[in-house]
Amino acid sequence: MLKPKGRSRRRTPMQIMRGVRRRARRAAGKARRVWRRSLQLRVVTSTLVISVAVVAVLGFFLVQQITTTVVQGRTASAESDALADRATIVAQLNQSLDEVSKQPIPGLDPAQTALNSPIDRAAAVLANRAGESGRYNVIIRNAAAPGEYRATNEIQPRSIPADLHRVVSQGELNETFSRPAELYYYGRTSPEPGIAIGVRVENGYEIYHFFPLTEEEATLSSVRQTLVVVGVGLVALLAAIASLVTRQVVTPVRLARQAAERLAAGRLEERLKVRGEDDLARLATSFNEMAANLAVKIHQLEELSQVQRQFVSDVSHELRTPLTTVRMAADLLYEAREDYDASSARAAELMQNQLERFESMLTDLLEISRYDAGAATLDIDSVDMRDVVLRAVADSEALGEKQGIRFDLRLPGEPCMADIDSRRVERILRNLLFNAIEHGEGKDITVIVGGDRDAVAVAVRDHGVGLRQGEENLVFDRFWRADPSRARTIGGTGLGLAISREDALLHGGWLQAWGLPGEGSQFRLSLPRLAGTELRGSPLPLVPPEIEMRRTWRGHVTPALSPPVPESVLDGGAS
Amino acid sequence: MRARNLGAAGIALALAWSGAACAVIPTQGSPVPVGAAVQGDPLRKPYVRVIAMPPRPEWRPEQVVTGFLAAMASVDDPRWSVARQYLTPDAGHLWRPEAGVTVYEGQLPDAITVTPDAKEITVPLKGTVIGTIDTTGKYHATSAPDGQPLDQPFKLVKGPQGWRITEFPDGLLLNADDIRRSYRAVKLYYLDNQQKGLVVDEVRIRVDPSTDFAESIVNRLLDGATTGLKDAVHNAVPAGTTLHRVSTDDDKIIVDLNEAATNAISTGPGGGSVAAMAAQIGWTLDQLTERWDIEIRVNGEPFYPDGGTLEVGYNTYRAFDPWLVPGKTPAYYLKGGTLQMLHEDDEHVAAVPVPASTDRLGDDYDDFALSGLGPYKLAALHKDHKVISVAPLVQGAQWQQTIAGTSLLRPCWDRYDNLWTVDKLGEHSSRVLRYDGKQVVQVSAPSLEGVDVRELRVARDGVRVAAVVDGEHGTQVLVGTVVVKGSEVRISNFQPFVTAGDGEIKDIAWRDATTLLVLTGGRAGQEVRAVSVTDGTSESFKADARITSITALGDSILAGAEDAADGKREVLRWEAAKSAWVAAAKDDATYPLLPLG
Repeated sequence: MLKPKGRSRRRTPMQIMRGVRRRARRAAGKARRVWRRSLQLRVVTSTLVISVAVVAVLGFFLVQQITTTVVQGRTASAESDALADRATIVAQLNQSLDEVSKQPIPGLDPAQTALNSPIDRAAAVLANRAGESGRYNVIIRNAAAPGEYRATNEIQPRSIPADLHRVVSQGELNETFSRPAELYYYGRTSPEPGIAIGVRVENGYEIYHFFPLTEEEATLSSVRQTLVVVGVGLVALLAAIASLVTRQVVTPVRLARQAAERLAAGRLEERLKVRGEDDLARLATSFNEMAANLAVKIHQLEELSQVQRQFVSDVSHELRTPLTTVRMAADLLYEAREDYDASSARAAELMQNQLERFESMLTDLLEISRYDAGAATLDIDSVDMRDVVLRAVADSEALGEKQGIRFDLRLPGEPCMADIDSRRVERILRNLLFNAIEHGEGKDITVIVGGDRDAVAVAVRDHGVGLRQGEENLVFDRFWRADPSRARTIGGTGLGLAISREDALLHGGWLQAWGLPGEGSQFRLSLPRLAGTELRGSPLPLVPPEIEMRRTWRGHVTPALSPPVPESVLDGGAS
Repeated sequence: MRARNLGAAGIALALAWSGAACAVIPTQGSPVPVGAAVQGDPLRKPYVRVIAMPPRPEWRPEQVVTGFLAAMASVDDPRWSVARQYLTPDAGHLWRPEAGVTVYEGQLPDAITVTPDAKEITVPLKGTVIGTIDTTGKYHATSAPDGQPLDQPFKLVKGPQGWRITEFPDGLLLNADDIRRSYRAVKLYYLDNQQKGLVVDEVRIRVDPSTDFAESIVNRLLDGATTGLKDAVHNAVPAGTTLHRVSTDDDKIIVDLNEAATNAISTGPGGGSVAAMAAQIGWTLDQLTERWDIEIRVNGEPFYPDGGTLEVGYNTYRAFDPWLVPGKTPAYYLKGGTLQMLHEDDEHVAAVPVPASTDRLGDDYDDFALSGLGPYKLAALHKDHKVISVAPLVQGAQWQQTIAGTSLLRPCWDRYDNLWTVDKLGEHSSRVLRYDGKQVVQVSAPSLEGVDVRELRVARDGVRVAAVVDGEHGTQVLVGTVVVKGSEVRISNFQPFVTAGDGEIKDIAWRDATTLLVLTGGRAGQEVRAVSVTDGTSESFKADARITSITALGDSILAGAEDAADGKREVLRWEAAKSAWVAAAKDDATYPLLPLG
C-alpha cells in the first residue's frame, strides 16, 4: 500500500469511499467495454461456463457411482467376514473353562495366548484373525454380565452407533445389522469412516465388528483428485480450443474491420488479403470489390466536381471580357442619362446598378473557385484588430445610415494585435456588417472586439429577425436564403458568408453564428493571435451574455412556485 | 456425407468398447517377481482389552465385585473413573490405584446368599498372591513357589444404585489373566559402568491404547532403570531426551527424539556414546521386531548436525555386546588330568588336549573357571582352598598365584577379566575378593560378610552377582548388583530369589545375563530351575539324579555327573529338543567349563 501523502491524509473516509467507488465504477466500465468489444472473450467465457457445468455434473455422478461400487464391495466382504466370525465367537463363548484348549493362538502376542476366560479367548481369536494390519476391530459385550466387555486393539466403545446398538439389542437373535459409522480410535484425533456390523448371539452377548474404510477413502479421494485435475484440464483445454477457433474466425473479421475503418477514413486503396476459398475469403473478396467500386465511383465524382468547378471558373473568366465591354458601354449610357427621357435614364441607372452587382458576383465567384482549387493564400501581417474593425465599420457606415442603423462599437483600450491577412479579415467583417445591416431591421448593431493570450475575436450582434433552429450552419452555405421570398435589399451576392467562412478557416479560425427568432443573431469571428497555431477557445461568448443570463435564470426558477424574482439572483447572474 | 458416416462409425465403436466390460482389467502380461511385503506393522501387534462397564443396580454383590475387578483391569480409563463407581463415594475418593499392582490367582464364590433386607455383606476373595508390580513397573514374583495366600474380603453396602464396595486398599488387584492381557513384559537395556556391556532390566508396561506400544517402551527406557539396578547401570541416552514418536519405514524403525539426544555425540567415555545409545534403543526395540534396522532422528531431521543419518543395523547393535548373543564358544572338561575340548557330536569324542599345564590338573586343583575372552585363562583353586592360580591356555604357560586366603571358594571371572572369589574367614564371616590382574582388592558386600557364603557367580553382564548363602532363612540364592563408583567397588541390593526350603541348593550357573540356573536337590529329587532374576519367575526342568554341578552359556547347558552307585563320572548335556540329559563326555570326564561359566 502506498503511504498516504500530505494531501491525501486530509481526505475524509467519505471521500475515500467515493474514490473507491469511482475507481470500481471505472474498472467495471472498462471491463464492460472489453466484454462488449471482444467476441473472443465472450465465446471463451460461455464455453468455460458451459463446460464447467457439464464437467461438474458428469464428475459428480461419476464419483457417486465409483463410491457406491467401492463401498458396496467392501461392505459385502466385511459382512461375510463378520458372519464367519460369528460362528467362531459363539463356539468360543460356549466353551466352558474346562474345555478351553490351552493351545496358544498362533500369531498373537505370546503373553495373551494363555488367556482363560471364553470371552478373552474369543476376542483374542478375532484379534488374531484380523491380523497385525488391523483389518478390523471387534467389540464383544454383554451388558448383563459384569466384566464381560472386550475390545481388540485401539477401537473405542463409542464407535458403536446408538441406533445400531438399539436394533441389535432389540432385534432377533443372530440377526446381523450393518451400517456405515464413524470409527473412533485411541491415539487418533479424528474419527475415521468405516462400517459397523453388530449381532446378538446367545447368552446376551453382542458382537460388533468395525471395518475401517480408510483405504477405500484414500482410493476414492485419489480418484476424485484425479477427476478434478482431469476436469480442470478438460475445461482449460476446451477454453483453449474455443479461444483458438474463435481466433481463427475473429482475426480475419478484425482485419476486415480495420480495413473498413481505414477505408472509411478515406484510404481507398485499402484491400484485404484473400486466403483460401472459405466464407471469410469470400467476404474479403466482396469487400475488396466493394472498395474498388467505391474508389471508382468517388474518383468519377471527384472528376465531375472538378469539371464543374473548372466550368464555373472558366465561365466567370469568360464572362469578364464581354462584361467589361458592356460596362464601358453602360458607363457611357449612365453618364449621358440626363440627356434621355426619364424612363431611359431610369433604365440606364438600373443597368448600372445591376452591372455592379453582376461584377461583384463574378468577383465572388472567382474568389470561391480559387478556394475550391486550393489556390487561396494568406498575406500575413501583424495588425491591430481595432484598426481593422474601425476600417470595416467606416466602410459600412454609409450603408447603415441609409437604413437608419447606428453602430455600437465596444473596443478594448489597449491594442489587440494579431497575425492576420488584414484584407481578408476586413472582407469578413464587411460581409458580417452587411449581413447585419440587411437583416437588422433598422435596429442598432453592436460590434465587440475581445482578446486573450491566444486569440482575438470580433462579434457582430444585430437585433433583427434572428435565426431559426438549425440555420446557424446553413447561413454559411452558398446562395442560401433564410426566406426565399425576401428580396435582397442591399444587393448581397449570396456568397459573402460562404467566402467569409473560407477566409476564417484559412486563418485557422472559426466563424460561427448564433440566432434566435425575434432575438436577432450574433456572428463571432475568432482568430489565433499567432498564425498557424491551433485555436482552443474564443475570448468572446457565442451567445450574447444577456440571453445566456436569461436562460440561466429561467432554469433556476420553478414555474409552479413562480416567486418574485430576487434581486440578488439577477445581480449574481449579471456579475 | 462422408463425415457423417465416419461419425456414426465412431459412435458405434465407442458403444461396443464400453459395453465390453471384460476389457477393463488386463488378463495378459509378463510374469513379474513379487517381493516379500512386510505383513502389517510388527510394532502394533493385535491385543485384547477389557472395557470397564459401570455397575448396574440389579447386580448381586459378587457381580459387583466381579465388575470391579474387571474395571481395574481396564486400560481404557487411565483415571479409573469407572472403577471408582463401584466404590462408595468416600472410598472412591480415597482409593489410590496408582500405588502398585497385586497379582493373584483365585476365584470369587459362585453365588452368595443375600437376604432381601440385607444392607451390608462381605464377599470373600480367596486365592494366592503370585506377584506384585511396583510403581516403576518391576514385577516381583513372590518367592515361595506357590505364592502367598490372598484373603481380600470385599465389604459392600446397599445404596440406592445397588451394591457398592466400602473400602479397598490402594493399588490394583489383578489376576494373572488381567496381567497377561493388560501388561507386557519388556526388557530394557542399560549400560554397565564401563559402558561396554548391556545390562538387561525387565519391566511390565501397562498397555495404553492411546499410545503406541513401541513409544511406551522407548519412553520407559528413557525414564531409567528400576530401583535395584539404578545405581549399577548407566544410560547412554543423554538426560533431557524425550521421544517424539516411533514409526516404521519398510524394515526400519525410526525413533524420533528431541535435540537433547545429540549430546550423546560429545559425552560419554571415549568421546561419545552414540553407539551405546543406539545399541540400547536397538536392543530394546528388537523385542518387537525381528532384527530390523533402527534410525535415530532428532526432531524429524537426521541425527548428526551435519546432516549425517544415524542408522544402525541389527548386526551393528548386536556386536556392541557380544555376550548378549554369544556365538559358538568352546566347551572344555577335565579328563585324565588334562583339559579337553568338548565336541558337539558325541560320536567323535576326539578330545583335544589343551596345553595348559604339565601337571595333572585334577590332582592339585579342585575347581576351575574359564575367562571370557580369548586367549582363555584358566583359574584353578588349589585343593587346600588357600590359593587360586591362573594360567593362560597357551602352550607352555606357567601357573601364577593370584589370590591367597584362608578358605577360598570356587573362583569366577567377569567379562573384564577380573577374578572374583569369596574367602571364608569363619563360620559366619566371609569377604569378597576381586583380582583385577594386578592386585587383590576386597569388595564391600555387607549382605554377604556376616553369613556363610557357599557360592558366588558374577553374571555375564558384569553387574549382577548371584550368591548362595546359608543364613537365618536357610539356604538362599541372593542376587545383587555390582556398583562401581570411581575406584570403589561394592555389591549391594541383594534380593533373595530362591529359598531351598527343605532341600538343598547344590550349584548355580548363569545361563545368560538374566537367567540363573539353580540346581536344587531334595527328597523329591533333583531339579534345575531357570530363574529370571529380573522378575523372579522361574521354570524348572527335570534333572538327572546324578548331576553334581552345572554350567551354562545360552542354549548349551552342561552338567557334571557322578553316579552315586558306581562312582562313574561323566559330563552331560541338556538337549532341549528331546528334553533330556545326554552324555557329552564319558569315562571319568569332570568339570565341564564354559567361558564365564
